[in-house]
Amino acid sequence: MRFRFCGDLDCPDWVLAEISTLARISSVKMKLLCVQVMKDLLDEGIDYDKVSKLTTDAKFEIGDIKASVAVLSFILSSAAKHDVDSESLSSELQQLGLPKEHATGLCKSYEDKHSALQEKLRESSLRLGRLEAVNWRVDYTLSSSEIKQVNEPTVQLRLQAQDPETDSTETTVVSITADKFRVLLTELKQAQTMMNALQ
Amino acid sequence: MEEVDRILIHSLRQAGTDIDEDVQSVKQFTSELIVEAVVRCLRVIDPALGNGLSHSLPPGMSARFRLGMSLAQACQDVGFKGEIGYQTFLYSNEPEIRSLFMFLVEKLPRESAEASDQPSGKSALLQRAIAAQIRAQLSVPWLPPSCRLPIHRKTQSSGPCHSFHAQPLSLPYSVKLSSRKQTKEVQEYWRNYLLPVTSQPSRHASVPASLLENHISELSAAQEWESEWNSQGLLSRLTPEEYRSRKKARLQKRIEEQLRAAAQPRPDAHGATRSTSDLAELLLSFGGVSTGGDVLTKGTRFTHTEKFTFTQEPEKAAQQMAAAASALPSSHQSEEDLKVQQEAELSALQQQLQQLSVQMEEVGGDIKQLTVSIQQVSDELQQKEVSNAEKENSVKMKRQTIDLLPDAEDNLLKLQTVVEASSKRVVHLASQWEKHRVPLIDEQRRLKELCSNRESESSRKLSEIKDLHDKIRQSAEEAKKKESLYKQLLTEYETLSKDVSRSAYTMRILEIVGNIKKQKEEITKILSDTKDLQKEINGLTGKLDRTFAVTDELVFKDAKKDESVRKSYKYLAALHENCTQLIQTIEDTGTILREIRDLEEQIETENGKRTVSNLEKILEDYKAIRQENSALAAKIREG
Amino acid sequence: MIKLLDKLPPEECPKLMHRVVDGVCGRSGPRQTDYGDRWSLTEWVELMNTLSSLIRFAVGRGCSDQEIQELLSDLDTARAEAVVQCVRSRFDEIRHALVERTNAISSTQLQDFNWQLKLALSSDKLSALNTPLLNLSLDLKENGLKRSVNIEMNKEELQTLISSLEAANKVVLQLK
Repeated sequence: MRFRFCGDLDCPDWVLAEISTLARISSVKMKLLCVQVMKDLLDEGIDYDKVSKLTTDAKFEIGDIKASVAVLSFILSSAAKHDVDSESLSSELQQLGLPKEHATGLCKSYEDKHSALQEKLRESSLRLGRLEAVNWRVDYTLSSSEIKQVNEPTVQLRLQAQDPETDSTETTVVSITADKFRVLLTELKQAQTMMNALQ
Repeated sequence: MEEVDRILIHSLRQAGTDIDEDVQSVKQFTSELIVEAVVRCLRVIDPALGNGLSHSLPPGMSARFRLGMSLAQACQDVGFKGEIGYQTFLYSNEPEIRSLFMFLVEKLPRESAEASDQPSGKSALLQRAIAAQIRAQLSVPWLPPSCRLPIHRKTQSSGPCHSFHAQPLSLPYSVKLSSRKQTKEVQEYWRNYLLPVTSQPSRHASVPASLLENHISELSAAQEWESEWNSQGLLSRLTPEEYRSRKKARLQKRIEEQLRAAAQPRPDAHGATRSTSDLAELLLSFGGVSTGGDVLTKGTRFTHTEKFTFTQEPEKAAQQMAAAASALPSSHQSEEDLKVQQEAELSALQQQLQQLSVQMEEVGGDIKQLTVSIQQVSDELQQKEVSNAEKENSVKMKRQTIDLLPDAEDNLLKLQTVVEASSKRVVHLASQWEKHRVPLIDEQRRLKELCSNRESESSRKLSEIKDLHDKIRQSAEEAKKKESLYKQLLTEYETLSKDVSRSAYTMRILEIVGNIKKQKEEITKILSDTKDLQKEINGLTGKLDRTFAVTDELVFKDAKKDESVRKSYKYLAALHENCTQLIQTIEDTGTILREIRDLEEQIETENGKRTVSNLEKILEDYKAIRQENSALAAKIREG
Repeated sequence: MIKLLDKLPPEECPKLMHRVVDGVCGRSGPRQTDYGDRWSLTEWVELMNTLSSLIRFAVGRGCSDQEIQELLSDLDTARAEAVVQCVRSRFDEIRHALVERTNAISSTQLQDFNWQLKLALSSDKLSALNTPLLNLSLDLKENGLKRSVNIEMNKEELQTLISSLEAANKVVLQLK
């Protein structure tokens, strides 16, 4: 069997096993659990006390709680990753043995947060450095040891960029002649038009 | 038929058959051409089926036969229902081949339908292009670095090979220089010593980068200048050069003011004196013509203080030298003494040094104070001088009045006459002035009017120029848009060019439909004619029947009475019978004639199929195959 | 040192001088191998240094022809005239090179830049990412050492960078 929410691959065995664990709690409780897991995925913080309270009825062991949180995280993030619509997800989960009410509840909370989750995943995708801040200063050079009358502007640029390797912010200060600066700006504008044409 | 043939040939060409330009109808197809066309069509329809067949006719008879049979089989597999055998291909007759081709062409997959299935749009196109590129790259096997050809280097080496490094170039034509007329030396340099641009950069790889950067730099500079000129320069009503120089002057003034403002608050700080003097010097050089005497006086003040501090120091140094020299002569003594003496001397000197430095500081302070007081004093002096001059003036006045006092009356009279004369002169001057003034005022008014006229004219022209600029920009944009549209349409047209015959087809179809309509009309006309005839015949038969019945009755009535009439009645019956028979015979003849025509037609078609000659040919083929077979058998036996 | 130029016939002087100016302007200067039979290596290096610093001085101080002639008083008139003509004809270029050198006084300066527009198709987090990214690589010269800085920007970050640069450019335009 191939499942769309697994990226057209077979469902991992552990997920299959833990789906039956999920079926042990009521569909309403599971939906509430889903909300908590979704919060975790969106970095809004998961409330573990609430999670354990939700699962007390079904007499979940600590291992079961962990497993159900893990399987929900997997299903939600993987479905968002492969951009599965909620109806397909529901039918696929039912094929895997999740009761209909459970599947509908899960898919409801998935549908609500679908775009937010995808945005989050997009943000957390690998990036090789980011630009954090730009500061500039324009100097007007009057004279120098090289040449008596310069009278040319120069641009000092400070770029704060995130280093992809260390994750720390790296600051670069660089001085640019007016000509070079103009070329840089023109080329960047060209790049921007090309970038805009891409979408 | 030729229209059908043209369509068929066009479709076959699209399927990949190489048909000569002068082949216009199916009749002109040779066996080779037929085989090739059929195989190409089969390949397009069903690649698995078609790829097993060769599209050229082999020379041997048996091989030909086999190819013909497999072709016929393949055609039947694809779904051809008509009669088909190897002879269809080798000994073609026109209608059979035409019907076969019509069937095959209909079976050809429609490209347009295929194309419309794909999602269109720019992003989808891009995605597809990317997918194709990745697939192509994946299909290239990995090669170790040493075996890579330049093609592989692009996709298999890691990272960009080399980045651009630009170097400044020396070019004879550039935006900056174009406006100016070049001097003789520069032209000489260009002519004799300027290296070609490809050999200017130290590394060859830098040539394109340098050229591109040079170009971008000049282009962006030109664009920026143009936008600035259009937004501000044009309104200032100056020539570009004037505008530039005025802007430069304004900038210089601004910077100068700012520098002076920054330098002013601490003119008496000792450490800053040097730098400020530098600054003043700079200001002096920098301001050029536009700066007035203001800076000059400032500069001199600084230079004065500078001179003062610098002349002080050498004097002090000389004093110290003299002091040291006076201590030196009393030397020739024992070493210890010398040492002690030296130490004492050293400490004394150090003391002296300290004293001196203290003194120096004091003196420095004094100097500072003095400079300040000098400044104050000079200010005071100026003020005093001014008041002095005023006082001197008043004193002069008073002295004159005192001189005039002794001879008061005379002088009074003189003064009165003088006053009168002067008042007269004033009146005279006033009238004269009036005389001059009136035309001058007129002149001024006229000039003012002219000026305002000109101003309004120029502003009108300015707005016109602005409009023109806008228009130019708009037109340029439009031109660009239209060009891109043209390009797009061109590409679209190119993709569409396969369906060029479409309009021709529709036209032909319309014509055919018209022809059919005409024919239909004719047919209905003939039909109605026939119907009329039939009606007439029916009417005549009815009339005849009735006439006969009436005659029959009349004659029968009379026949009972008269013998001769009975005879005539008999004749009448015989006549009637004979006539019916005659009519019957005529009708029979008609049907037979029709049958004959049908049969003749059938014979014609059978003749068209050339069955006999085909049979003969088949027989010959059979003989040839047997010969080949026997020859082969003989060979085998010999072998 | 300038006397060494006497070894060269006056008619070859302009060619050498123009190549020296090329060297001053940041391109490849004259090659010693072409003149190896006239000067030894040390003489060559000395001559090159003298000539280039002379050219820089003459343009940097804005000397008049007369003043340059005085600086070249050791040379005979033909050669001195060749030098003066060379400096005069290449004045703008040399000035530009000197402005560049002035900018090089700061600790870090931009030498070159390269950019690359990429379309990120997919990632481990999202199967259809489709995000355009711009990689900007700045070749810097920091205290004489070459260093490159790489910044990857998405659309918004590029927009921030461009708007800051635009603001700076507005000021630069006022100063021209």
